[in-house]
Amino acid sequence: MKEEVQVRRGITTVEARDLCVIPYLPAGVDGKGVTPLSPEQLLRIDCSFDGVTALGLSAPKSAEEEERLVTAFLDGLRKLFQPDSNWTFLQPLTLTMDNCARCQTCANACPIYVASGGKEIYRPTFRSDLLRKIKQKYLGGHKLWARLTGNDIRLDWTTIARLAESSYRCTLCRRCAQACPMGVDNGLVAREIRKLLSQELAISPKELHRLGTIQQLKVGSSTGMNPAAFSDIKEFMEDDLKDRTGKKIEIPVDRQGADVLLLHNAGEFLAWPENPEAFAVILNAAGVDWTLSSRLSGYDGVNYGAWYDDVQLARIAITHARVAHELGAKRIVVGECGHATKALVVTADSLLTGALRINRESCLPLLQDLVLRDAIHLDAARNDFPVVLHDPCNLVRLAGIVEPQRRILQKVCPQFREMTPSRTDNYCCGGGSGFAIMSSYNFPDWRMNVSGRLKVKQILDAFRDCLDPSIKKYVCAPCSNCKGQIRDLLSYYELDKRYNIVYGGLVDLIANAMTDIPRML
Amino acid sequence: MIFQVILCVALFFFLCGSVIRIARYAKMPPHLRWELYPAGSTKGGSDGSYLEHQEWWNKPWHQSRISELRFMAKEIFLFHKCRMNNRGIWRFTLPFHWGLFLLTGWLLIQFAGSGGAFFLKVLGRTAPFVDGAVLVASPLAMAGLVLAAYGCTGLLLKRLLDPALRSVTSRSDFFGLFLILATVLCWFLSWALFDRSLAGATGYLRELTRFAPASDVNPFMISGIVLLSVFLVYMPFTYMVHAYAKYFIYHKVVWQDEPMAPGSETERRVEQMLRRPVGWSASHVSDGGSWGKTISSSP
Repeated sequence: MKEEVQVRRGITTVEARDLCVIPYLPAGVDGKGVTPLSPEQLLRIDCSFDGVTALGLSAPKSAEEEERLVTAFLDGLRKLFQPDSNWTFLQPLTLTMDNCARCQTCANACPIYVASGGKEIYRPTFRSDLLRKIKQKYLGGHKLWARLTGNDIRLDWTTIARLAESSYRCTLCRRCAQACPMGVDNGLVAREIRKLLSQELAISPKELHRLGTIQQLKVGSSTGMNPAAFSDIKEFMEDDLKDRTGKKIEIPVDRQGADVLLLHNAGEFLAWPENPEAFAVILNAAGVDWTLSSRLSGYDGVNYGAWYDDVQLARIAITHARVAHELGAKRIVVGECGHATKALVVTADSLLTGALRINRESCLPLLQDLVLRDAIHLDAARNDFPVVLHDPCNLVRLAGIVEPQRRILQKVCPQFREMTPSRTDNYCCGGGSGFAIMSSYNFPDWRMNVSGRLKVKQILDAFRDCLDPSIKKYVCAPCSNCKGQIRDLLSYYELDKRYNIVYGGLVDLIANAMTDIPRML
Repeated sequence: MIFQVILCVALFFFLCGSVIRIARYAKMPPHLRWELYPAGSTKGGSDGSYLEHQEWWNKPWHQSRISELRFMAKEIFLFHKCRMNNRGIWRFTLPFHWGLFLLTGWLLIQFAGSGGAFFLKVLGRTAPFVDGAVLVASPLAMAGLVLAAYGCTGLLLKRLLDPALRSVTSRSDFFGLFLILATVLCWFLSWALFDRSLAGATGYLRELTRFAPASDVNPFMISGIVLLSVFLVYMPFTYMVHAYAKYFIYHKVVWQDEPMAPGSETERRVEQMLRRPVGWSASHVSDGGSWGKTISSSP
């Protein structure tokens, strides 16, 4: 039993002393490291990759079960390279698998590899190479060739479990692909492995699948909020707005034929209702003809399928398009949510064929238009505190929406500043690809210590001239997922208490600058 | 003569392998959009995309060929991304590739010159300018050999001595580099010891295009031809296909941000794929139906 525990502890483990240094932090605050699983958990759960688990996988109980899993994995791998089953990503995947020179140009672009202090297993090429070796040996049919070229790898449960966990050590930020001279996309490989596991072996984090896409399609939202609960929240928000502004501000729901169907990440309604409230204040003041939807999935713009499963991605995108058509909306405007924007506006573009076609865009160009043409009355002096912009990967690098948020901040925040690096060269918040909502076992520790590490460093660097806690500082994250991760990072590293660093969205700042209502922040 | 036959057969394999590879990439079904920004094709070289504009669907979609060419020139001739992200590799890969470009350029000039001279001769005309052009091109080959040998040696040493690179370099990666280095060294030694004017190499290629037996050969040249033949057969099976696969990576994936227009060819091809079976086995996707049916239903 002791040996078994030892094997499952991991190829390597994440030790605090190996991680890259974050300046401005006392030793006690940093250096908490990743809590190891208990011996009892180690007996049940396979964490043989790095001592961390995102999936909570259990080893097969018999040799027959293991063989079945291996066969199913190979079936899935075959389907990944077949035009019928994987037409959605066959070309990008094949090009990536064929053309990597293993030059490691991508490694230093990866925030996880850098933050980990350069751990081999977090190289962007690690999982791609593993998959390439398995494909060459088991699907290429050239076992001798595989041996000669050094691709002789044994496919068993441990290999599958390690590959599965490794696909959840990448935030799909695709900074590696941007740095690669060949355009090879190791982020895509991580997503394709997740897809194989989900669509063939039904393996996926429960937060993304059972509680995520399945719940969204059946109940209406990945938060578990059903249409009746949404109506209650809408009423709560209107009451709250009255308390905060002294005005009756209506939040239109299911208005037929509206110009704009606004699609929020439903997490906003529960965790940050001030965000949809700010939208209501701004859009009403500017006279925009808009509505929310109370239909199933129509009030939750998230699409976790974007991170692990093409079928679920397509189902949710189609549901959103149908809701808009039923309401007769002229366009869908996605609220402050990066992955929802990318999934619906970019990735799903070619899924919405024929009658499903609907105009879709991010909220940022609309907000930019309202702010720059003075459709609302603003006083930037109301936001006279240091504000730094976090660039959500899904908006900048993956959708090319870079300038509108900056033009808005330049107008409404006199002390606006950039992170380094920023724009399309930004670092992920560390919560991308579902990490921000994945909270099983010791995964949150890993997310705080490794994937979010460079973001903490960037935030502190950006505010290094005003760390004095008497000065309020604001991290602007126009994305729900990033906001959740930044909230957790500020709390974990005590940046809120220690340095008075707060966080929020972009509309919160716009609404706070509006002169016809009391301050919102 | 046997080595000329080997080279011709290798060239044939190379062309067939490359055409098959290119056709395979070109025939793949339409994929979901997966672009990256900044895209080299964005007008004005901006970081952003047309999605920065409100109601973008009311404006014409446009890609700038000038921005695209500027981006490509920076990548092809300066290895800009490698320079910015991996200086240790860049200082060898840049001369290595420049060496290969010059050698390829020299080869093309030789073939064009030899072919041109042959046809002029058939027409009963002389072509002194062809010989001139061929001679003028010789420095290209010499510079190419030096640069390729330097770059390839550097890349090999880097992969052997840098622990981070060594651990990820496969045997086939080493083999590919050794093969190129050995080929280049043979040609280099042939030039340095036997063929300083490159008249022998030029003559060999000229005779090849005329299907005539080669006369002025030396052992290093023969070894170089054999190794070059092996390389030509081997190359289409390796990542070195990036020489032409990059076209697909950039133009069909990374820069491909064209919105799907109603009634377009893309829409027709997607609709065709939506009629195909899903084929995956997990319970939430295995209803046995087509893509179109499965994604329109609840799990």
